[in-house]
Amino acid sequence: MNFENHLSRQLVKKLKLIQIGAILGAGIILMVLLGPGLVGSYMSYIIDLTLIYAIGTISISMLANYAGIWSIGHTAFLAIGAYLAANLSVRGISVEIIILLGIIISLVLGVIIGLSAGRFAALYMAILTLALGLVSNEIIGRWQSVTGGDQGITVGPAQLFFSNTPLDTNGHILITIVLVTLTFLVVTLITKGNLGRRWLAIKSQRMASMSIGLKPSLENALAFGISGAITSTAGVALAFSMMYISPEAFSIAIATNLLLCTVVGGVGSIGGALLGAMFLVLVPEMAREVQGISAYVFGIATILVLLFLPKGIVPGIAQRLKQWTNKSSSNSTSFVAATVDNLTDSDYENLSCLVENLLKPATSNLIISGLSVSFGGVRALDNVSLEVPPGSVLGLIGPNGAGKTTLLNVLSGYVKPTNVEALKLGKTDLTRLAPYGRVKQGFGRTFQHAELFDELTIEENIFLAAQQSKKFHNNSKTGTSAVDIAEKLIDNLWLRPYARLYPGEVPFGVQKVTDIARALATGAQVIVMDEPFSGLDAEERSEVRSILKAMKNAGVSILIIDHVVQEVLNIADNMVVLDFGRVLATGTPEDIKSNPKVLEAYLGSALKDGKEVLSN
Amino acid sequence: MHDLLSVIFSGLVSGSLYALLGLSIVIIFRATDVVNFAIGDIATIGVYVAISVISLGVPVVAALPITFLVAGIIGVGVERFMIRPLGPGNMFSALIITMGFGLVLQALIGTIWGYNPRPFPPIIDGNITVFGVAITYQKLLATGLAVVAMLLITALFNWTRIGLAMRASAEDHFAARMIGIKSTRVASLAWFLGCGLAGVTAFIMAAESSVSVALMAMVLFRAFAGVFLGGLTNMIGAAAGGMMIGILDNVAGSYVSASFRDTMVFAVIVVILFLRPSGILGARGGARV
Amino acid sequence: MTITTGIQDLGLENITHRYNGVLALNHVSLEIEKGSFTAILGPNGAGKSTLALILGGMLRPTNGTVKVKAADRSRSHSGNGFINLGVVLVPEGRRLFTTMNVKENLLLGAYGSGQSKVEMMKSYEDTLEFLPELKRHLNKQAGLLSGGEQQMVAVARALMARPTTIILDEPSLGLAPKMIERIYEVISSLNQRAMTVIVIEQMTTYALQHAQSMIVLEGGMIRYHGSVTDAAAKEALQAGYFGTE
Repeated sequence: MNFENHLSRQLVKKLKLIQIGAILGAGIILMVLLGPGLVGSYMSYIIDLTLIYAIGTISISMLANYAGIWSIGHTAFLAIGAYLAANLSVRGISVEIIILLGIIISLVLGVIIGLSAGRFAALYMAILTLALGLVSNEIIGRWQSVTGGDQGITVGPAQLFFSNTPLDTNGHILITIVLVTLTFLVVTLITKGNLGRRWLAIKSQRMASMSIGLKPSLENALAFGISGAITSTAGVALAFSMMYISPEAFSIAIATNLLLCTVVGGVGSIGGALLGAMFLVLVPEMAREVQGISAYVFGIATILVLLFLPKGIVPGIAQRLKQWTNKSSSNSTSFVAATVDNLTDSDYENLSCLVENLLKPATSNLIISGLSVSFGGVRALDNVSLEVPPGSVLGLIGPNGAGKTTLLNVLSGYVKPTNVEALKLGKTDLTRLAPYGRVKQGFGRTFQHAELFDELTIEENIFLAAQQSKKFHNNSKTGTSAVDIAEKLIDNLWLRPYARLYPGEVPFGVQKVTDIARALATGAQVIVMDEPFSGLDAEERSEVRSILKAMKNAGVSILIIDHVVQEVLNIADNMVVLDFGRVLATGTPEDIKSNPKVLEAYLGSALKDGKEVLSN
Repeated sequence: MHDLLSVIFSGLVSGSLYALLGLSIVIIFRATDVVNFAIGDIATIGVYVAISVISLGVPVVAALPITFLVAGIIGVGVERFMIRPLGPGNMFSALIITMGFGLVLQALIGTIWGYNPRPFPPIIDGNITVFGVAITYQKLLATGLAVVAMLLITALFNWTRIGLAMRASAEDHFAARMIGIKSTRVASLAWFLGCGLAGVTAFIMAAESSVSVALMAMVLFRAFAGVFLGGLTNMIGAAAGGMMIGILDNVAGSYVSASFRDTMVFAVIVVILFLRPSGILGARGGARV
Repeated sequence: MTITTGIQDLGLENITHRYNGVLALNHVSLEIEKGSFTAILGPNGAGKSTLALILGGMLRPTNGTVKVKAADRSRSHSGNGFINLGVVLVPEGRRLFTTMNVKENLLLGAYGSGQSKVEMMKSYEDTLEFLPELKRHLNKQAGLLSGGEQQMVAVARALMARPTTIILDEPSLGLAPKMIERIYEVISSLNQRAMTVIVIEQMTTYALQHAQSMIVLEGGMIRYHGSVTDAAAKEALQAGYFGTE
């Protein structure tokens, strides 16, 4: 089993290498064909232009698919690169430096704009990028000393850093080919690598992503900046290839077409980006005779594609093909669910050994005192104080609406207290720490609905958490790599058969176990669990029960809320009962079970004076 | 001082148009979660149809209702045949499909009516002097129209059964369904009203100058800016935001730089977003637990 | 077990419901008699709210048959529930239109029941006569009222449709005891006026004081269905909440 797994991991790596190799190979072939002018000049002009716009479509596509940001204003970055090239080339500055400058300026601009809008809905971000596109038009039109205004501006010949002779037309095409090859390589590395995983995680679950230490607004801004920076290199190539640039190249119409063609080709795929760019260049070329034809084609193509192949042409067709081949080769995806009815003692020993290795024993008290939270006049929590001694399990129960989840959210940093005297882990004050800051302090969190990152596999979900934790605690647990941690969790938490599936394809119980594995992978010392048992069947419950037991043995502090009261009573050292946002009772599970106030809060007087009510 | 007053006054005059268009955008968004990027083009084609009808000898007064109806009906069609089939929860597909449709409409206008600007028959002549600025009756009428349209919308949403139902549906889709409000009917009506009102804006714009494919480009940008300040779900906010943008635009244009008006508006929005991520008026107290 | 003399008002046959594969209800069958007062009880996550939505026609179950007044309505979902059949739901969390005033909320309640303007105003007057405490708040924004007042508005909004059957999901949630008593007083008097009443509650005290029959739901299955006075009732409750181990 392990061997097989090792094999498949290698296979994935190999696929990535194959893709990189293919990109490089295609780049070299293009150079050989176009460099010496083997292809006719019109043909090579078309190919050149397509490749240039492919840089633009792939960066828009990456941004949309991985970060969830749809940019309507990427022509602004194209313009930055182009006008830099125009102005600096006449001063004899080399292409490499121009490209570098374009990247830096675009990155900074992109990050600033991204930071302003990255904090809230992606929809606003889209509108803001439209504004960016419009504003860049105004600046191009008015800043005549740099852009030549409506007249446009000629571009000097490109000069390489280590050469004194300017490049000719074929040389300009070589620049394009090098840039587009590099772009596709960079995009492949980003999207198949950590950055891509982080972006996907944030895109699908902003809140849960913070619980493994990610910073959504920063990552969004970074995504926008990187995408813009890549697009600016297309601007440089465009300037040198056309030898002359005019404002129309960056109009809102072009910006719209760029986005629409990306969508038609299909976001999130290199093939889609290439097809989109081809479409973008070829349609106007072929319809040059009649004004407006390309607008019809682009518009209608967009509408039809979104209605009938919503993912775009390339990914859409790929998906259809996959479905078709799957259907013909019987249903190979049906798994015999990994059950634990044969959970042996040695299984459990392995599990607890692993958990002990992963988690740090808690060393300090978690202290909450005088905590109040109000939502628009409604008190969700009212002067709540409690303490979790290191290595103990605190069970938190209470009827619906008692404020339990609010309490967890305060601890994770998602909800700001209206009032609090102390919120400390040992001597560290937590009140002002952002969610990711708390992860650094050793806080872990699980969620009622698992909240896994939808577009990452089960394996990647756990791996990403392990990797983030490596960043935070680089001294911990000598040498085990994030991959090792993920592998071990998958094996010992019975997740192996599901490792390569996406959360939407696995049963809810498996999702919940994965969520716990994710929290374990962060190497936390205090773990806050929101309803780990809810929605599970008996078998799955026993799985979660063993994991919890192992966590307890490893010495972490656990705060657990659940409506499956009996499970909480079984595992907890101490109990707190909340009712109407207040602490109603505290004590050992035994105390709580017989506390009349608790029975009343839960069942009302039905049980207490049961006989009276029930007998009349 | 006198000067500033007049700048602010003309800011309000143009702001009323941004407010009206912003309101149209918000009406559609609240009902269907769609940012309609084709709204400017739908409105523009309404004006073109109106011009063609007038040229057949129909009185100029009829141009306004014709524009309203044509734009509104196109809006209903777009919602029915392009947005609804996408299903719920496809915000970005919906946004992009409207961009694509906008492109088709622009091409259609070019094919039918040509790409050169067309004159629009003047509605009223003469001018009046307010705060030392000469303001044409035409402009005054335009502002009056925009204000009347906004008042009518206010009345509709507050005092009619269907208006109440639309507000209810925007606030809580589930609860609205539960009490028997048909969400498809609300969606159609919102697109009709939203696009129709945008048509009114386009009519006013056309009456002030001439008609071209790009008639609404400038107004649309500023209306979006206003919506940004007011929030996508807040009708009053969007209207107030539009007014503010009108003033801001005029003040910046008169006192800072006339050449970089868009840039100025943009810079102010970015700064505001840094300070208040939900816009000035929008999405307050949204914490539902 | 159930009182079997009356006419069936609502009936579920073999209802199973899954959310994205997660089982919420597991082969649930039940009958609600016309004019009865039923309490559906159980711990959180038992499937109570799912049951409420299905009874109100707001959710189409994955499997099984839903009958309203003896007619099969499993496939006739317009997205608007059973409001036009006289069955109204007061959902969990009340779901008032919080930015609108109380009067507007009430008038909207009549929207789906096909009343004319005159009938609607008559319903409005009747509702206010039945719940006079709302008269003081008519022009206040619903979201600014206290929890108890909001619950009362939610009940009033439901009554505007002139229903024969009312389903209340957790009407006591987050309310002070005094307010809960008043709500149950209102609910009981509706039942005395021949309206079929179903309350769904996690907290059992008040519901049991007023209901005639009770259903205990746990883990998506019915653990008990019968009179509240049966000897087995108490046992069923205890087992449902604290487990049977």
